Amino acid sequence: MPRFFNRFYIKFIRPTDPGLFITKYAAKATVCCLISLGAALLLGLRGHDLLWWLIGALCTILFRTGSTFNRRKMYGLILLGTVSLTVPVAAVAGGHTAASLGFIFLLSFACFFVSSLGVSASTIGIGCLVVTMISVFSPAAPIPGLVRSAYLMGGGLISFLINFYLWPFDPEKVLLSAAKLAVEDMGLFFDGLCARIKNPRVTNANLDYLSSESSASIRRYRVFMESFNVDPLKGNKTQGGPGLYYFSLVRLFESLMGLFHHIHFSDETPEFDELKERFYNASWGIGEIFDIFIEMKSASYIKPDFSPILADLEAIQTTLVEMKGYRQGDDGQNRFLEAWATLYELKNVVLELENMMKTADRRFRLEARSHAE
Amino acid sequence: MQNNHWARLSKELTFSSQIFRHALRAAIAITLAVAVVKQTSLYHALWVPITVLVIMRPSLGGTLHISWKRLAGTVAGAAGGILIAFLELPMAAVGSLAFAMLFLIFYFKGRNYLAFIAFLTADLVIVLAAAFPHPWQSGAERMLDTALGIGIGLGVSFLVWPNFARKNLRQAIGNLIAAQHSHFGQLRKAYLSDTPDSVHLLSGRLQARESLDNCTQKCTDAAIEPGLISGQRQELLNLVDIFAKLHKTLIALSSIVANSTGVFKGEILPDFERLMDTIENQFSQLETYARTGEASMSPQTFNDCFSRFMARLGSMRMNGEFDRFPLDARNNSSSFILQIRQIGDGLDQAYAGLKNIRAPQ
Repeated sequence: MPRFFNRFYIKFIRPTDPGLFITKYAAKATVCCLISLGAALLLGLRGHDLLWWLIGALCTILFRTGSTFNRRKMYGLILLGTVSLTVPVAAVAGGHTAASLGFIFLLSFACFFVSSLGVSASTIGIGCLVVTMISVFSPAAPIPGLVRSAYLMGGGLISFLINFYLWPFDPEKVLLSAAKLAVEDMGLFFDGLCARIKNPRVTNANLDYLSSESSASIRRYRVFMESFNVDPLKGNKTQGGPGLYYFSLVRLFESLMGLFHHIHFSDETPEFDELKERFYNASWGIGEIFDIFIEMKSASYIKPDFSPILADLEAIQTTLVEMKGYRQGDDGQNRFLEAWATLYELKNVVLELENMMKTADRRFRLEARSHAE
Repeated sequence: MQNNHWARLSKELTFSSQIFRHALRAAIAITLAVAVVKQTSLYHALWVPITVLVIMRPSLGGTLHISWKRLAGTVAGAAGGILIAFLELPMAAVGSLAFAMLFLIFYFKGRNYLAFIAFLTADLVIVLAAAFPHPWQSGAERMLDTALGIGIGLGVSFLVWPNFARKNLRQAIGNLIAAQHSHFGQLRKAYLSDTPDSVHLLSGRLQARESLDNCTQKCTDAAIEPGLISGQRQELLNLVDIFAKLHKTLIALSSIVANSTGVFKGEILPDFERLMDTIENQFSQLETYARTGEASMSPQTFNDCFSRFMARLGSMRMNGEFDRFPLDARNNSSSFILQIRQIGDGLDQAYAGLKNIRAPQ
């Protein structure tokens, strides 16, 4: 829980990128360029030939697009195919001012116009335009233009092969890490909410930031499912299905958002002081359960015991009933409504957390060990 | 599939299409940049048209937005690159640094445009400084070429069919309200159903989220464009916040809907339905007002209806009418009703915000 107060941790050290996704992608992209360079040097390429080889390798990585693995492969090939055609034409046109301007006008219009087909078409268009423009500014005769195109294809294909065949991602590992990250973000959001119970100086802006991080994490999980050809909307409580775990993440987030909306229930209400303390203590236990899941090593973790927390919440419920809020006039009634709603949402968080862990066990074949083991 | 692509392309092949105009605008700007470069024989000729290509966005606000980020990133990166170049590091160190920067370029690509451009520029300057005699020259040229490219891009954006983002705001805000209204309708139906369809609910929310993102982008772009007074700019950004809060309330409402059917059954049901109808009316009126500016909403309507409902609920509770329900169901209803109040208040605030944008002081 002290992590919440540590802005440095949240902003810089927190593994928003747990050893894969962006980091891995960036590393992979760098390695693709290095291997392409190595291959070119082995082939004895120098000067402009080497440059075009590297441009091919770089454009395959920089203008990567598509929501699924197969589509990314297809769009990569389309880009390489298109530039291998436009580059020699641009090389020839580059020698004549009027022809180069006319060619660039038509090509830029076409590249921007295809954006009506979607983001992928737009990315391919931009990639094609950039590479072709490099060729326009270094004019050449038709044959050297074609040779340039061949080097471009060579570098691009090496990059393509490493990217898609020699170093593909393991979907299960990626999804489990994305799931842990989403739970970690929600855990931080929950820590923030706990801190808010006792400390009104924790502002809504702080909590908004944490909630948007959680939401982005869940969205990332969905995007990764889609990129592995798994429909995230396939599956529900009764039918099961691949999207079942995604749904449990969404429901956990919904319950946290519900809690967020009522967390200020005890502000400037001295009669809730004791209740506030009990809410805080119960929340502490829930925060620790988040930590258990996040700190999971390999595919196993110690199964948490939810019963003491649920018993705490029952006890708070009894206290609230005994306070007879509905007999306290309009203002009192509203304050009690907020307190009841907070309790309800807190309980929801516990139930959704329990459900999320059960679904995770099934989805990722995790081993949840009991304390005794 | 291919027929579908052709149909989409041919549909846009008209002067009235925004995509066609944007493509033509971009083509003119890029061609102009190439022509200028060919006439001035700049050393790094490519940098000017590439800058134009990158900054050309469908709306003027979008172009302004990306332009300042590119300019700031370039200045920061070039300055950093020149500083490193003056250290006169050995070739092996320059090579390692260039590859380390390559990693950072890929890392920030798509995450932080300013940082991406800064590292890209710094990397370029370091590599070029190692190859050419004057370390500062490439950095200075990079800044100059970027500024020239931005100038050409902005000039063409202003002169050729300038597309102000604020022109499409009514439609974007109207679509967002419609999407949030539709999602609220789904939640309302699901709350009274014993088997809420979670897939349907989530699809509705994703649609609402998409509309929110689209509207936020348009409002942010519009806020940077010339022609608005500062009060209107702030109101636009406030409006985005209000709609974002409404979206969050709808998320919170989903958690309540998914877990119980609450206590709004039997005698209280007609009052509950009336309250829900009031909210739906608010959504409809707000949408009409956003699109046409013609409807009018009174915050009093929702407040009155909510107070009446709460009074009725209070008296029924005092009479023990809800004792037959489990405590969880009662808590669920408390939570639900509080979210409804937040939605009602949020819609009133959105109406006030829209009014302020339309009639600034």
